[in-house]
Amino acid sequence: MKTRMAVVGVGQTSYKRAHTELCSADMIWEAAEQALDDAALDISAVDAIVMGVAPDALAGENGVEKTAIFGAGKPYVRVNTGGVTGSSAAFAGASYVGSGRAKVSLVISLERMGQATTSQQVFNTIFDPVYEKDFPLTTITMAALRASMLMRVYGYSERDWAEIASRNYRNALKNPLAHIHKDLSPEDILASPLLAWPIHRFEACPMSEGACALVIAEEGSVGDRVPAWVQGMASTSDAYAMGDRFHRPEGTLVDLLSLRRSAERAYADAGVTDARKDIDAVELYTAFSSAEAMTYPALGFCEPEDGPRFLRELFTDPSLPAFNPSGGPQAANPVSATAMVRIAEAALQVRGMAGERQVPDVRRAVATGQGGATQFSTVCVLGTERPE
Amino acid sequence: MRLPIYIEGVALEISFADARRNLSELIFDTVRASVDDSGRQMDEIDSVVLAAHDLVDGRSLSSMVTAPAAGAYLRDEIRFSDDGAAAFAAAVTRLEAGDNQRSIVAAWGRSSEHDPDAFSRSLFDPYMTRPLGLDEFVLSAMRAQLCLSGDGVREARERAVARRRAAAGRNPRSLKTGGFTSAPHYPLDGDDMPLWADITVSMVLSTEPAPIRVTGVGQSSEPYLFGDRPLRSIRSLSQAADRALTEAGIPGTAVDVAEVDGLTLVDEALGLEAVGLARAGEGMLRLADDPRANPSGGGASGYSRPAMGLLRIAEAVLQLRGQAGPVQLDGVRTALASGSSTVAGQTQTVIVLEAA
Amino acid sequence: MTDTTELVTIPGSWNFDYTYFAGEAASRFFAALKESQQIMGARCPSCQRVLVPARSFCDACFKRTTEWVPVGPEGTLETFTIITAAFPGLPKPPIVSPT
Repeated sequence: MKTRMAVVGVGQTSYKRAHTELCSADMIWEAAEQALDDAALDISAVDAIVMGVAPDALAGENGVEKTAIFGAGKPYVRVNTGGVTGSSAAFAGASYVGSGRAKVSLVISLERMGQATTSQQVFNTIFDPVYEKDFPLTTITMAALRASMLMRVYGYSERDWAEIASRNYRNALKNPLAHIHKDLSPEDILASPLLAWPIHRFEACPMSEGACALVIAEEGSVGDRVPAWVQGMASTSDAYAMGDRFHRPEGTLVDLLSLRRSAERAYADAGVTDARKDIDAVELYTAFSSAEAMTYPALGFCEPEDGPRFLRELFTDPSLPAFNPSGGPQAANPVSATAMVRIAEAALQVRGMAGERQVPDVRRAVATGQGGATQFSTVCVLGTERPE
Repeated sequence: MRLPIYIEGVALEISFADARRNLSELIFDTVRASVDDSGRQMDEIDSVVLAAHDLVDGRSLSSMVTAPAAGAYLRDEIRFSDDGAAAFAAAVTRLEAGDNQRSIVAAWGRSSEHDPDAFSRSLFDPYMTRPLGLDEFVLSAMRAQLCLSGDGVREARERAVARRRAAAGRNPRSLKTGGFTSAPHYPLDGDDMPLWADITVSMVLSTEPAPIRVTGVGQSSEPYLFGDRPLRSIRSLSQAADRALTEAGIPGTAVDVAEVDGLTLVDEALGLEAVGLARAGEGMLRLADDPRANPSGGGASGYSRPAMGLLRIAEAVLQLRGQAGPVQLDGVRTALASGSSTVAGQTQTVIVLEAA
Repeated sequence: MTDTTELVTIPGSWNFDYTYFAGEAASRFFAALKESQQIMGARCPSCQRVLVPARSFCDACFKRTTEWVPVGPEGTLETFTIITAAFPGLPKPPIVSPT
């Protein structure tokens, strides 16, 4: 019943604080052109376009996605699901292909936050205006609340957060597109200013601009292009209020229920039964290094209480999957695009086109997306094998 | 082989400044009503597709707070910052693809909480057009200037205004008190302008047979700059309608009811031409004299971005079910509904429905 | 694009005003705090959770809540953070780290 499809084109601008030489339409164009060139397809072959742009206030342009409509006359819709926008847009593009209404979808996401001068104030407006907006809830403090709880409940340490961050920066040195190219040691990171305990500045993401695009094609349109087959895609939305996510049988705040549920469904479709063995590379949407700890049990790598041990194993056991070979959001976080960038990087790994950051022998890669205060989670499984 | 898609439940509410309910509560009431109307249980629903805009809701990433009110808890939910009919089309693709079995589709906009004119002005790029102080009504006004100069069109327009006002008065779902309108740009006048209101709409779609079937879906888009678009016609709407009607296997003239979204009365008239219910230059005549055209009263009954496409579909569904009340037409078996997005109708979605 | 073209940047400011309707449930919650120093929760008739702040529906069960019950005033601190960086437009932190 389900249509088989693959990512056959990837386009990314570089990620940096501000692309002062490009207007928003130019950035959309650059990523789209690259993806179409990579797919050896002309815009005329595209049947549907899905745009992903998260909060308009970061760009200061309402409807910025409308400024660059290509091959006018195509279905064109815009997704906004915050941090998970990039993957939601990719999934929506995949649905058009899955329905048969498109043989080829072009999905693009744009982050234009280089134009914002008060981005944390913008992020503060995501919280409930009735009860929460007057508190200093920000993306940083909400991550800190989770990091603090992970330390209390599972025994993680401040050092753990610094080591994860250091690994991300080291990987990013091999990614020419990344925003941050600095070889920071755990000591450097712990010495950086504290933002909100226990999060240090270098454990948080940079504010990056950029655009990312993917070309998704149904099986019959793949031809002799190099595919990253879509083996599983799942998205789950959780309750909004953090307080509602503590004492419930489904799982507490740091159990990252929405990610676990998405992983279960995506893995079932992909035929993944043992995450440690079946997955070769993982691209995580973790804007803060401490958030990575919540992904270990949610993605099926270990039991929650074994998280700190799994972290140690990641540094010592080469048979385990490579985490964030691109450097992840620590090294570049173009918010609207970040979740699509994870899919793009996973696709490059599977297709053997990841350049210096290529992980050897990747048969299957997983990309996650995170939006809101870990409210929305997506999991995408890509692989070299065409699904049954 | 694409799965057929059916509409099992529908609910809508047009209100204004009801201080008893916050936005989430307004949404919950309508979504809950649509699920009740469908006769289904929440655990039979595995998808939620939403249309809402941060700058209308007054919250960045507004779906954090509102998606749970629309039934998203632990479900596969997505929010489009786009018109409600576009979200409807996206929901259809999910079900056709077999990604989900049954979906809520909901859209809303609360004019009593935001400033629709400030929203409209912010749609213009900071370099070329925002400094001119443009808003979306400028394009409507320019179209009106071109289209209202024909013989008999002005007189038809007066009849269209009267028919539309009467329909809004008879439609039990329209806004009766409150609401407001924006100042019109010449040559538009107050009667052309949409009645800003608080709108919530919700439906339940599934792959299981139900009395209303989706027989056609069409979408299209136009360039951003006005100078790159034709002004006398809405090309993206024509293309979207062609696609939907071709899929449904019928011409535009064959539908029993057409609920066409337009920001102003003039846009509605041009919309009728675009979807094929009227020949070029005769849209205003149709809007004046054809009972099939926007029997709900269109924008005169209440308006808020980005809910309108889904509201138009909802009115069409009620017509097909025979539940439209005092504005019910006779013998409705096929319906067409359309929704337009920013900027000034740059992208359009057309849906064709049939009573089984 | 030549290297000598001066890149234009335009300063801009968005100011959107909103009127948020808190609704009857939230208004009643605030009134109870103010008038009787009570923290009110609302019970979902389906899952039986008491939701705080009290609100008119349970999003997990997608049902309207029924009874309102006072809760607290004691509670368990589940997690915390200490903010040490100042952000424009937000409340000032108690301690600011040297940069």
